Amino acid sequence: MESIKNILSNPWVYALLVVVITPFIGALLTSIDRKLSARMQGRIGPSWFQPLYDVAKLFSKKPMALHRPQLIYATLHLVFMVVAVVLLAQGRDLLMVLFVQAFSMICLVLGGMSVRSPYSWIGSQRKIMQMLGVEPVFLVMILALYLRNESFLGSALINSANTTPLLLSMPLMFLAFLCAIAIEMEKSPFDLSSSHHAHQEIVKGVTLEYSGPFLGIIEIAHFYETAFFFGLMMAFWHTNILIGLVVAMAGLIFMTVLDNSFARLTPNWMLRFMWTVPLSMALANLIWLWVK
Amino acid sequence: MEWINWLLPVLIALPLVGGIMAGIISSDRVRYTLVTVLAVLIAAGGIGVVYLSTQAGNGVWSMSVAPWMAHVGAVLELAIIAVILIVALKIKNAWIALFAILQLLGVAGGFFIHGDHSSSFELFKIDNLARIMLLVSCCVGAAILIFSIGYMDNHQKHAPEGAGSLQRFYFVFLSFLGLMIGLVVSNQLSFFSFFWEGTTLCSYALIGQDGGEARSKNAVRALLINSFGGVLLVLGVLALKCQTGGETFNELFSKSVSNVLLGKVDLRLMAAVLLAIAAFTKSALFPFQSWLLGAMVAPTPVSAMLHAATMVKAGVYLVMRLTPNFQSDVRVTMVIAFAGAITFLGGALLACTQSNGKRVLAYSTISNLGLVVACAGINSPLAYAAGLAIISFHAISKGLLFLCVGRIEQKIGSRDIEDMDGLMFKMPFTSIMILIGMMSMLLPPFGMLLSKWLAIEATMRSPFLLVFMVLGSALTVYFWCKWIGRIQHTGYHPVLPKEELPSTMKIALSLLALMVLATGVTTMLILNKVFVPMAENVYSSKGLLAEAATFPALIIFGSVAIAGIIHYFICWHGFKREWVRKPFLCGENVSSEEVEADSEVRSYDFHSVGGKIEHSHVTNYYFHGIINEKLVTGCLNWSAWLIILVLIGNTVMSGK
Repeated sequence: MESIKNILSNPWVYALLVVVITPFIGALLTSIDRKLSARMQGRIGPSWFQPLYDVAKLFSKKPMALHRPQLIYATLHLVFMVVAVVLLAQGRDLLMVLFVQAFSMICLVLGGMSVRSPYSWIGSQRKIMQMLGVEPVFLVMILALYLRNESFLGSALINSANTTPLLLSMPLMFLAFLCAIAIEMEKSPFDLSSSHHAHQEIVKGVTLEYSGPFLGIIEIAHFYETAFFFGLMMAFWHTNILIGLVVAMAGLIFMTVLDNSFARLTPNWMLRFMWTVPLSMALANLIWLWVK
Repeated sequence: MEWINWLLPVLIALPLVGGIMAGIISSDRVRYTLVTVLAVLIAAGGIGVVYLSTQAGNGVWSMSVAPWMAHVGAVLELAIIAVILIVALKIKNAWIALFAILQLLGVAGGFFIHGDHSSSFELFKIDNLARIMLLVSCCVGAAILIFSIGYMDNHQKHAPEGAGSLQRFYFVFLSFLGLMIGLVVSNQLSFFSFFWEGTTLCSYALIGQDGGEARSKNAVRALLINSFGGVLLVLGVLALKCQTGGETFNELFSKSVSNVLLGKVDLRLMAAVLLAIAAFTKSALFPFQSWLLGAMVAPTPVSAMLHAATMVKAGVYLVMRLTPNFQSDVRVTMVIAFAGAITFLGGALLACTQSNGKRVLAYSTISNLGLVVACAGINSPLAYAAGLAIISFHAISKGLLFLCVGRIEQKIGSRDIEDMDGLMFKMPFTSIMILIGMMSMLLPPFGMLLSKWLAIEATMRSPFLLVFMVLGSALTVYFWCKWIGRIQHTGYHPVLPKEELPSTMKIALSLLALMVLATGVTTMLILNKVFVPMAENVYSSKGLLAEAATFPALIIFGSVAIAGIIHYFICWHGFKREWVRKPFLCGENVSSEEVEADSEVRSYDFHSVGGKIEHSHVTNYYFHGIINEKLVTGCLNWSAWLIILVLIGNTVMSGK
């Protein structure tokens, strides 16, 4: 037992474990989402392992591409997302974690813009508008964390002497954060740049021109991303892992419900909404913490 | 006799003398040789001076001169203002003439104030900040000089009617570099003002280089706004003289001088604030940004040198010099930070609405200058380190970007971002260079992103300031992203063509790109070993980057490198022709025979109803109809003027 603990405390082993396990967590979360959606629509839904089967099948397909640079961006998208997850798991500087995650998204956008496909191009344009909407909220959230813990390090949150769960000191921030995650995970009414169903007006948007193994890479990155945001939601009840799980699961269910009950809105509406309602909520919460 | 005591004056004189020579020489070939030699000498001399000056005790090198040198400075200053007055009379502009006369009166008034004219004073002083500026001016300046040879050669062939000659261009361009070097090392304010006004004059001459009504109008605007700054500068120096009798930065910063108050006004602080506002005009902060935007009509090396890499940096340099010495006047420095922050946000916002590449660069420059001023105003060691880092990294990246846009403009005849579609195929070399430049503005772990990271972490002192920083930072990503996407928007090409461009341009671009990459890879090292110790030195605090030092450079570099190798073997090297497909469009893609048969048909066109061939075209999103540039500029200018009023008001009230 002691020796296992020792091995786990080795940063390299830990990082490797995070890299290996996270996509499976992400896949599990995705299938929960799909099951729940199916039930809401009166279907039975796919098997619990369906997301994994899907990716496995993608990798068995013949590679197809438009040109070489497009593929570089798929790889970079995955790499930076993995790095962001590892940095988050190690409790590094949260602002830097956020920048790395944002760059991963930028790679996806650039990949979509590198090909001569109008759908993919419009999807990319919308994706950067989405980033424009969510980045301020994320930044304000991390700054609020700093005000509370006097540190930008993720580990400082876990080790801090302040034992009030984050959700109690940052409730408005949590709501703003949920909106931001809904955008990042392409949930209606914010699924502007790419949706899970390829029947929207810009087909599959930013990932339209990826197929086969390369789409598989992006799907894996999506698993990491899902787990990344799930972890961040759990951090809102950092004092108890079980309650944290409940909070994060509630967030996930909220998003599934949102996804199934709203129609898609326009990018301009999304930007206006994000820069007014959630951003003001986040700022109000920040000022609240600052005054305290 | 120390080496540096003559090396520094030589370094200042070299471009000035070289400029005169370049102005006299009529043979193009000889002039280009001269410029090349000068560029190498300036870069070597700059590095030499920086190295030698670090050898001095406690890292600050200074050169004391006899008291009469103060009069030389005053005479030089009077002379350059007289030249501006003559220019104003020649172009019949009453406002510039008025500003010039005010400056003359101010300088003349200085003679009547009894100061200490008997002891020697420090004419030149090189501390850490000056060293950074020296390195930036000399190295980036040298690369731009080399680029200008190929560019101006081509430019002159297609120059519009009434354009100035190459002799005129190189005379002003080289003199400018000498003046800039003088500016950053001057410690005596008369000399400082002389160099300051000198760069203003050069800027005027260079913006109007190509003649024509629009250009001369923009040139006059630049002169007007900078003369206004000049008046403030002279007034500031005058206020300082009234207070202390001396006119070097030493007196401005010495806290031992008893505060002689004029009424209730602390004149020493007033002097600093006037200097800071003068710096705002030079750095084109809102509400003074219009001259920098207008200046984009100049030939590209001018834009790169004056309006990105060096001259506008003189303003932020002055602010960075001032604020750490006024740490106790929190209210004043905080307002300065706000003036910077609103510029950061406003510049980024307006950059998102522009499709003209040079204007995007101009707004982004303004925005970054605002960020430096905000960092200086926050007045914390971490922010100061971020400011130093932005000054240096930004100069290199922006120099590269401007030069690339200039090259692209010469080749495709447009500076519109939408016209740069598929540039990756048309001009692979330049495209890769400009991509390196743009990526360095937003990719971790390049310097700009890391400095922005530090800046945001340092802004925690004021949540209100933070709103500006956070929004500005998100907008910055937006406009770079759009541009990068446009450039690399291409179809499949088995091999990229070889791009023909003059060797001087190739060398200059490669040099700058190398600098960008080298500083990018070693960013954390540079921050830790250079900028942070400098900031700790200025603020005498320690252990500033304890948290930030946990930056995981190894993880990022390691993973990207491993992924890069795997990717290379599987996807790049193993890429097969038969993988290639055409994009998904609204109908059947055109066949390659149809593309070959008709030059109008592109490989990404498609058949619509009845077999008609349709062309799909998409553009970037510029918020047309949502953000009105004029209206937003008006609001920002209004707020910025308000901030300046608050700044002056705060200063007036602070002396009780």
